Amino acid sequence: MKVYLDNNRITPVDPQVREVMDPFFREPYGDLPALHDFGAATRKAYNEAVEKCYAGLHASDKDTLLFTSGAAEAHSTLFMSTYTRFILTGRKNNIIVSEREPLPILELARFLEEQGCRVNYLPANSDGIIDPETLTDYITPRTALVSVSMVDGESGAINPVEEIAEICRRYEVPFHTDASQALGRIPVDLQRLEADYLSFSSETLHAPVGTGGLFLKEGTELLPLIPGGRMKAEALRGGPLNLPGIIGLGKAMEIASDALGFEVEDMRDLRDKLEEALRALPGVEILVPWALRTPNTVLAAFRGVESEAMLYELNREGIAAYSATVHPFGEWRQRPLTDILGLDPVLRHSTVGFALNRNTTEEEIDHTIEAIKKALEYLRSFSTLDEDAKEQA
Amino acid sequence: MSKNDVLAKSHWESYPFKIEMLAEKPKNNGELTKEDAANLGGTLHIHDYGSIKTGMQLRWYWVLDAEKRIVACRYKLFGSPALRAAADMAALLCRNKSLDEAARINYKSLEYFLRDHPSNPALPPEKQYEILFVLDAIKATVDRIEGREPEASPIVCECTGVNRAQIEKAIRDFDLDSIEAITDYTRAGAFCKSCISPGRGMADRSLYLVDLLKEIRQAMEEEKKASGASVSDKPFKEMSVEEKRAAIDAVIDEHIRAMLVMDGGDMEILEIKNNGEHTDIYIRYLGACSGCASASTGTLFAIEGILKQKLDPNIRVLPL
Repeated sequence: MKVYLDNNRITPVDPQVREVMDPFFREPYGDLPALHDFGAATRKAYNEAVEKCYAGLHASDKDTLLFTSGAAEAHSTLFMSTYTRFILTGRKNNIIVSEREPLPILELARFLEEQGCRVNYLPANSDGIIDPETLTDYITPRTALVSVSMVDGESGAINPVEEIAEICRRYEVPFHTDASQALGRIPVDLQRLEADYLSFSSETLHAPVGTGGLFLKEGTELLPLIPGGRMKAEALRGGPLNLPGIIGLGKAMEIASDALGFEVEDMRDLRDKLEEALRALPGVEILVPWALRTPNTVLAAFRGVESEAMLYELNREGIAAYSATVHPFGEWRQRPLTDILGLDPVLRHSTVGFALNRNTTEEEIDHTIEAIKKALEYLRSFSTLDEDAKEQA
Repeated sequence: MSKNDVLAKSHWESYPFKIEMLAEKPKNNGELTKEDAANLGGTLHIHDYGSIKTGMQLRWYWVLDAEKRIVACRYKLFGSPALRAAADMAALLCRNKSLDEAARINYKSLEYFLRDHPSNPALPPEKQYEILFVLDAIKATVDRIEGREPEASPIVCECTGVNRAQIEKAIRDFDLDSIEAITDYTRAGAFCKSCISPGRGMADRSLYLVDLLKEIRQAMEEEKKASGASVSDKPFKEMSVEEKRAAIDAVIDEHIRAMLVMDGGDMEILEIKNNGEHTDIYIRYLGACSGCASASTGTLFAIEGILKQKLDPNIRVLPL
């Protein structure tokens, strides 16, 4: 039995998404600015997708949506625009990002740091989330941007972005949040959140990898990273848009918002079943409290078992999981997640995570639980941790 | 970057069958008890190497007989499947060896035994440190049993607990010339990367990998100059017989002898003759190799193959 539980990295494409994209792979279709009927048909499908994206995020009609090749391009566009408009001109001198941001944001922050911009890293607290109060220690009127992702991709921890946005609004500092790991798992509502920038990606939304977007709140400005748009819809990004991708993304967004009702609750039940089974095992720690986590993720630390060894055993049973390793992105600023959560250092190399999607079945979870038990028993039978410390050689 | 970097790779699917087999069905894992040791008429020695906090730990269970020969060997570990495979093979190799012989098991021999095919490396470059870790664990355990204190050396990489001496040894043994290569062979710099060069945090660090690499490479250059170029840079074909002998000796010492010594054998060169475009090397087997059935088949082909690959395709090896 094949069980895919690495859905925080990439999700399988939904059949309904494939269906709306299918005509674009079989028949000729027009370019977005083209005047002919082929173009008109494309525009119709494109406009529907745009409507669905706005509806899915409860965005106001005054907000702007920029389609990109994914969240990473959205991040790059925003950070480079911030650099050119505020840092380079000397109007602002500081940006603030959380220490658990995805790699593209950390790399962009490092680039800005090399250009002489002061970068502050918000530490995660012992629950694995960013405490809004720490932001007030760093934020100044010369802060150009604050970026905290909605959900931590490894632990599934949900950050209190609404409160962080509130603080930013008080200081009149633009706030960006990456919602890639949140969409389809928890409600994302731009009416309530009021972030200035929100980025998202298709691969975590049951649409094919390679599409994403950046929402800009009314009144915010952005310089394109890729110039050369031929029409208003392309003004913030040149080059032809990924039309099949965008049309799939629109459908995926619609399905994801509809699923928040009970499909996500079913997913939560299955995740809870897995989590309870893990909690019942000896020497297993669950990282990040239940209430602060997305309904599809459980990240555990298995005492005495190395992550890769566990993943290897699970893979032999056809189960794909992931690990939150030490310094996941090779950034010295990132502390090991287990250290952030105040756990025993021997657990640093022992984390294994399971991220479900809304199509995960109960049989798959049962199979996973059995496989985990088997692997744990086997690997612990020759693990060095189960005894008193021996004389160090 | 090149095409090789553009192609996507991961180490799991590049493991040879032997590594997979040893990782999935290890034979020597588990522990030995005092009772086991008593039954074998020996004493039990249990020693740990490495630390779970840094992600790799190996615990050896050795039963030594009165002559300090390892009569039984098992292990427990905290580490990846590749480490398990390397440790399992090492446990097999340690058996029936004296402590001295066990300490002499080197990278070449252990790596060679993990290969499916003589010409395909057992582990991809980024996993070489697993083999070195097992060898270090054997050496540290031998030292411990014989009462030698480990040499004090400052830690360079805190994430992995790798010290200066280990890095220096890896650079010298494997002729490493880049930071990536050091990470591949020692794991230093694999995680937070702050030990690689200044400016990546932690300002009070006194030792960086870039400086260490430069220093050791420079020392190696000077040593090479001082010793004089013993092995000529000429192509093998144009060498005189004496130069050929030196080149062949160097290859045998580096790549072949360890393999033979592991099984209690050895070899010597009797004569080297230029025979038209061929170079004939007459050798004599010593110790356990003389009379071994494989001496005129598998072992011979391996020796000839290595010499052909390293020096010249027209080499012929003739055992007497």
